[in-house]
Amino acid sequence: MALLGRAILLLDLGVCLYGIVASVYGARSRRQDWVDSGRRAVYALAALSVIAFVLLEVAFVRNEFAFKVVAQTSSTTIPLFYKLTAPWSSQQGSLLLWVTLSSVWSTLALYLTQRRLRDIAPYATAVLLGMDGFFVSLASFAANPFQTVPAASAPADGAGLDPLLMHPSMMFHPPMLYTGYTLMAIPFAFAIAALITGKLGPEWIRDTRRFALAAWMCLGFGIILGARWSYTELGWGGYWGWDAVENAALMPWIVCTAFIHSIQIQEKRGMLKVWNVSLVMLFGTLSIFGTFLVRSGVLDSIHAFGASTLGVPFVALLMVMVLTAVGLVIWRRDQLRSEHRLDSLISREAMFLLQNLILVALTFVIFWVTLFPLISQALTGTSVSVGPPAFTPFVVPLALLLMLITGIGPLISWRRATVANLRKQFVYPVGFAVLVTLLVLTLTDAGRKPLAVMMFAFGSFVIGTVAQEFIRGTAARRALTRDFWPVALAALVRRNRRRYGGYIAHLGFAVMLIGVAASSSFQHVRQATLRPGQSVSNDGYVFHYVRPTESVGPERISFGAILNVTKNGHQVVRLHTMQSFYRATNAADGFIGQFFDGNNADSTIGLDAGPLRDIWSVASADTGPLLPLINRGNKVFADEYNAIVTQVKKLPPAEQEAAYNAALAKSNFWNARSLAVNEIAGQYLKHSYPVVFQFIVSPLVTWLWGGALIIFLGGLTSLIPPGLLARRRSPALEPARVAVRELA
Amino acid sequence: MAYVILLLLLLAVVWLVSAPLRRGAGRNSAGLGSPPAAPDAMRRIDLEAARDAKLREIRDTELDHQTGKLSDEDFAAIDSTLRAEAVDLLHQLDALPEAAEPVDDA
Repeated sequence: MALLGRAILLLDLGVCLYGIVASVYGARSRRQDWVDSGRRAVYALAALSVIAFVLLEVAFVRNEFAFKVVAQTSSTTIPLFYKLTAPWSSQQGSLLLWVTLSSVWSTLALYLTQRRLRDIAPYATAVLLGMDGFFVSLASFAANPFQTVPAASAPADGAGLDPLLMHPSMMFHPPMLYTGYTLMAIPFAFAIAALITGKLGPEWIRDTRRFALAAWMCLGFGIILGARWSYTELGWGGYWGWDAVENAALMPWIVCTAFIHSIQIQEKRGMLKVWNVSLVMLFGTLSIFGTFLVRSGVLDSIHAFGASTLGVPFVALLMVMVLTAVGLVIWRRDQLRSEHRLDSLISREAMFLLQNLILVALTFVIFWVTLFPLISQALTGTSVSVGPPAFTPFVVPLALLLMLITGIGPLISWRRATVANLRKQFVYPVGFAVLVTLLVLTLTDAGRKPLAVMMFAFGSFVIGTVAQEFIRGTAARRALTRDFWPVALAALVRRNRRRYGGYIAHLGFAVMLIGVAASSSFQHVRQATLRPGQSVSNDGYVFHYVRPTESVGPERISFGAILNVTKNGHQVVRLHTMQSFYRATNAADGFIGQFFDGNNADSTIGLDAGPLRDIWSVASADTGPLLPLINRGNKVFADEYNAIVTQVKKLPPAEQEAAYNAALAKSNFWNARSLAVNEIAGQYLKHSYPVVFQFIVSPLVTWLWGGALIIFLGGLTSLIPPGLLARRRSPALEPARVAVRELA
Repeated sequence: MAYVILLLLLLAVVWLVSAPLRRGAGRNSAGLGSPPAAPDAMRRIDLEAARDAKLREIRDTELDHQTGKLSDEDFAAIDSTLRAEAVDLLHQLDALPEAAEPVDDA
């Protein structure tokens, strides 16, 4: 199976090279048969990569520890679900996942555009295959997932999966991020192809816009899943730490957000062509840059794969991408001139432009601060670490401005607006924002955090704007059709999916940032060391440590705590939080100590999530009091084991293995060890050891997840092809089409 | 066994990617086309995309007017400009020779 996997990767590489040559030759010689053959190379690459990935999954499921990657990231004791997710926890497996996803999305894009973009598609095919070929090369020669050791020297069990990665969102978080990244390659490839061919009309934009939107949705969903993982698994109570790898995913998402907006100006007015093509280049390059950060180990991150030799090839690829993009844009600058100018600074176009500038500024700030440790290292030789305080002074004002523009933009018409119309549009959303702000200031103590109050005000303004848009749009529809409100609303959204899908996304954005502002500004954190029966209060809630819990399973040993939470004497919730220790492979831990290694542990939080506040708790079990027992157990079992090994070594080599197994079985060695581990773990219940707790009460965290879902729903509304929602072919354009025909 | 599977995969890949070459060696497609046809085809595609965008813009402007974002005077001016631009696009499309049906080889 390993041989087959390695051979498929080499075949993949051959297919990539052939596809590039066939596509470019076909385009230059105008031979459609060669172009089609090149496109089919992408189909073949996808099929082969899927087969290779399935082979790797099978190796994980069958515990084939002769595969190095399986031995390093899996074990016999981890559940099947996590065996299936383990391939992308390693550098090697995730490279193969990248190639698989990229080739599948490329296949989809080229299949959907095979009847169109005929001049552009061959070059886009070559670019996509070039990028895939790069990743296939890495997977073949630098980090091969099918690398094996001889069967005789394969370990009986693997090192296991990092406990922090054993979280349900790991099934979807990395694949969604990679889907976002790889989908971004499609607009990038078509943009490069459009620049090469000089076919810079509106068609390539129209046909690749959906892929940009899909990339934006998937990457955004992946980012949110990562935030959820951080909140519920990492045990620090936060969802965003401005980690280098988190930022690396956020930057292309922000630039893609800018593109999704500004592309409308090019479609409607033929403006911002250089800007739009630059944004495509930027998010395409940033998606590779994010991969470089994850895989090179140049920056410390909990999400990175650690130090590797892949940094240099990635830097080379990034340089090629940047230089090619800049060179092509300069070469085609005459064809990228705007067809129109802004009619007015008070217009939807102007708002989009301003929003784009804010988004790009935000990306620049995040890029600069993220890379500051590297820049500092290069210039001064001293590495500095940056955390959230380095980002917030820049990010918070820009986020506030962005929220304000998100509210203003939809209220202004395309091309121009008059003062009377503006007054009519702004009065209700502004009134709603003022009302909400006054209520917040009156009913809560939020006034002590003015920036958060501003975010609530601007967020309410956006919500008011979106509500007004839906109400007025539905009313206008009803005036024409006399439909019932729900029917008119559904028809309005169906006929204007991009506009109202966008408004839904704006609503989600406002809800999400209100949640972020509230939970980060008004969070109450308390750390306490408690014994069973003791209590501590935090933000009016009393946390009572009821009793410890303990469980020993084949996979892990868990020490936990049952907590009772009350407020003003009333029961609120009962929480169970625990810390789990997974068997370590470090021999220095000893026969017993390897079950209690704090470096191989994770936390299960106790969480009560509600619409207005989350109560979050985590326990850090102190195994210190168990240490004398663990050390004694280590010594007893090491002595017994060494005695057996000494006896066995006296025998002829051919008899040693059988004798070794027989002696261990005779002394009931492994069962005795299991009993000892159980007995030591059981001491945790018998003694009232103190436990270090962290308790957090945060308002509106649920709004963050809810807002993200609303954004996703908005994206989906915009993305759905017209045929799925329309009653007949393109009804949305029919009235205008008829009207124009009448004029013609 | 692995060698047999690999050989089958190799044959399948060769069969898949060489199919267009086997079917029509040296054939020019309607899509890429001979040099005189290609600019017209491209022009038509671009004009159709521009027409669709213009029709969408007309409808968006109508919606802006209906929801009170545009005054009657501004709407009348913008709408007539947009419709004139749309008519111009339709005239340009009509002036192009009839498009040949693109050949689908994949």
